[in-house]
Amino acid sequence: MSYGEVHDQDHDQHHAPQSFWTKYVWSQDHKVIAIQYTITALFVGLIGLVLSDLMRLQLGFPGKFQFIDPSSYYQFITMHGMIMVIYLLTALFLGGFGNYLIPLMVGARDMVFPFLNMLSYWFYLLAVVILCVSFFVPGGATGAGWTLYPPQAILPGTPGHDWGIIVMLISLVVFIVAATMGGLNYVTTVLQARARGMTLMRMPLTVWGIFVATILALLAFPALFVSGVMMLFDKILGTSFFMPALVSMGQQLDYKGGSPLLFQHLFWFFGHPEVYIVALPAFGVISDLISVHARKCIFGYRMMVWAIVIIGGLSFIVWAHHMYVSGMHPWFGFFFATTTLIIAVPTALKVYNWTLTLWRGDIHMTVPMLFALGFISTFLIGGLTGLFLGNVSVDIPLSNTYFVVAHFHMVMGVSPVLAVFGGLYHWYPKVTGRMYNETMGQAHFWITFLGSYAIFFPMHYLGVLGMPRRYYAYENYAFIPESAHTLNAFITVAALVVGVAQLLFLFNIAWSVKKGQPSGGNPWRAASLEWFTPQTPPEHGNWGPELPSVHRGAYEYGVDGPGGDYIPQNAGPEYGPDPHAPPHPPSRSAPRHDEAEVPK
Amino acid sequence: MSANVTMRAGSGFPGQPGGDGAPHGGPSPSHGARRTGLLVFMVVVSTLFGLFGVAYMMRAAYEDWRPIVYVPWQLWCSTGLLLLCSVAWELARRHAAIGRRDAARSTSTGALLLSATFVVSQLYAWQAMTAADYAVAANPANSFFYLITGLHAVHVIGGMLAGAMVAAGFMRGRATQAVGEGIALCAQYWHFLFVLWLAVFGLLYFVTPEVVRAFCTTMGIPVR
Repeated sequence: MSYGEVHDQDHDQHHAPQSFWTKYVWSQDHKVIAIQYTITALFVGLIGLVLSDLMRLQLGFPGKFQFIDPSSYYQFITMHGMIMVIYLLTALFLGGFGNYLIPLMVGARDMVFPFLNMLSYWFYLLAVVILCVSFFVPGGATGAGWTLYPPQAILPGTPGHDWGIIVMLISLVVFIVAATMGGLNYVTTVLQARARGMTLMRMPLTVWGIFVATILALLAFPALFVSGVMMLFDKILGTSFFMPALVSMGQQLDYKGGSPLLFQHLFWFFGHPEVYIVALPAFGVISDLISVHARKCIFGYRMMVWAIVIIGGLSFIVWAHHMYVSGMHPWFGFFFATTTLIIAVPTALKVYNWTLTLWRGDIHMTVPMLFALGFISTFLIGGLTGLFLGNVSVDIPLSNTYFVVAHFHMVMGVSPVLAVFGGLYHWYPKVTGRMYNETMGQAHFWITFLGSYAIFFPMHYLGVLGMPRRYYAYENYAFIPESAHTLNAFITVAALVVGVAQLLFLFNIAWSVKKGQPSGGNPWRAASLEWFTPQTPPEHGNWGPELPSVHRGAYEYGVDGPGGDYIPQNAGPEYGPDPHAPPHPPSRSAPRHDEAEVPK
Repeated sequence: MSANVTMRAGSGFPGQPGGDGAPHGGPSPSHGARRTGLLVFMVVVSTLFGLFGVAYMMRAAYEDWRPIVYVPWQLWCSTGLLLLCSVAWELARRHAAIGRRDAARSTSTGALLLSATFVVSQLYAWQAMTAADYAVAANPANSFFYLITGLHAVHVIGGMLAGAMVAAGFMRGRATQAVGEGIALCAQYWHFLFVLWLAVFGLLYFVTPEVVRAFCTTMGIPVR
């Protein structure tokens, strides 16, 4: 434990960077880096959003928009998926929320390797720039689908097969380097730089979610790196890691002996943990939002922590459920179906605990709370369809239909995005010192929430009807009734409305930076450490001359405390002992109670 | 990538305001933090190479696998060199720990030079392989050979960058003990690189299709 080590440095002089460039551009301050990450991710997410609306235009009104030909349609699909999963959600949760919240929530002055942290952002930005460049290379971006399955990804017939795919893979490799640098920082900071008294079992669940997700990222991204580099070799040097002997466009190619299935195994060994890389931070954020805005201690804190850890562990042994239709030994199917269904247990436990936290809580329908409740609803729907798809025999007929599109958009598209919005609204006052506009926030929530249901819920029916996914056009298929086309047009209109509604959010956060009501240091009357910085927004070094010391968990709500119905984490022992301390505290993690420190 | 772990070894960066001591305002990373960071990094690298190993074995189980039979003598030379690097860093660490500044400086410089020789030796081995008609795209075993040894060399080069920054601490007049902490991390990383190289070497030449099949059959995994 390192409480002392960090504390010893308190008396160091604090040289805050002075010039504009070192303060806002080449900054090593975790808060500035977090904002850089967030803005970049939101920008690239906007591109992903526009791409999805373009796809919907083609699906809803086929043939009406001449510029969307089959090639560009596939490019839109691919880039939309890649951007949303990796460049938006992963970067925003780990680089944005992780960077901002970890040091503040565990009571550190900064990440332990600030220079590495800065480098992580610039590598991420480089990856984003390379990604955007791929739209402009000859042949355009790759249209291989976000899974980039070989052999089709690098063969003629797939859009962007000559340059787009190379640029995409290079961008991914750069992103992985960035994520690794960031990840080393987050893990080390959580392990080494916690404030005095901040035991692991007192950390807010947001930190737990981000911490475990980072470990998953560190262990899963190498698989993407391996598959990406091997595919680059196949494409550029003509090796045959993944390329079997085949005839393409009437020509026998030089490739022989490669295994496309090997790529799928490597890809999904990354791809499935990736689902939890975006889901676990969302779980953490939602737990905090619900507890704060329902004024109740999170139900079963320890259970929640262990659920996060167990889900993280299980996520590494379920990957082949993405490959049922690729063919595998029946025992493998049995094994992976079983592990997949087992994941439902800790996940359901979390949903129950959120519900039980709400039970008889003092619920405040603030914007973050609305998003948290919306998350529970969409995550529940998406999770339930996941139980269907986890079974081999149900998955095989549904696998290539819109049912799967509906499932994964509900569970890892809409849900984490709702958590992102909830989190951004919740911590906005801490980041800017001002309140967002409540009316715009409420409107944004309702349009996004109801709109997402309008988009994705009907897709379940389309899927059960047998409407295949990934198709460019659906004319002249006898089994697709006219009503399905009407439904597609409806979905497109809903998608456009939701897309435009995001401008409300962007306008709100941009406008409120200057014009919002001053929020004060702790507008939500929250108990966790980040709300007790001496300044809001926190200045360089976060804590002023003295690091905080922590005397209890982050969820002491509904009690008689110094500030009202809650006790801050850093309120001294005179506000009562930690009710959640283990009965026999192990000597290593026993909090050292110092003289009383009154919350600031 | 490997350079990252000890990047903050020197607490002062040129051009930083207040480069003396705490350039960033917060505490510079403690030794414990850097050690944890290195440990996490080594776990990540192990995962990376482990996955390459799994991919290699999955491919080796197919009928058409042609294992590499030719071992360029340069590879034995590389193995020896990397062992010497590891020993040299260990000596430098011990010198620094008892305050022998000059000895620590010369041994760590020697370790860096040896590492450079290792990389050269690896390139020489590549050349020998190509000369013996083991081209990169000729068959999957060859492709794996170049890919995995190349990636290992990249990690050695990354380590050399970090090691050079640590050793530069002698030039900038940092205290022997402070540089010694960095050297200890280097020693740890090079021991790791050596073990990793043994694993890579073993994988490429001793994990034959028969070994893979025997392993899979024992585990009850069906082999194509």
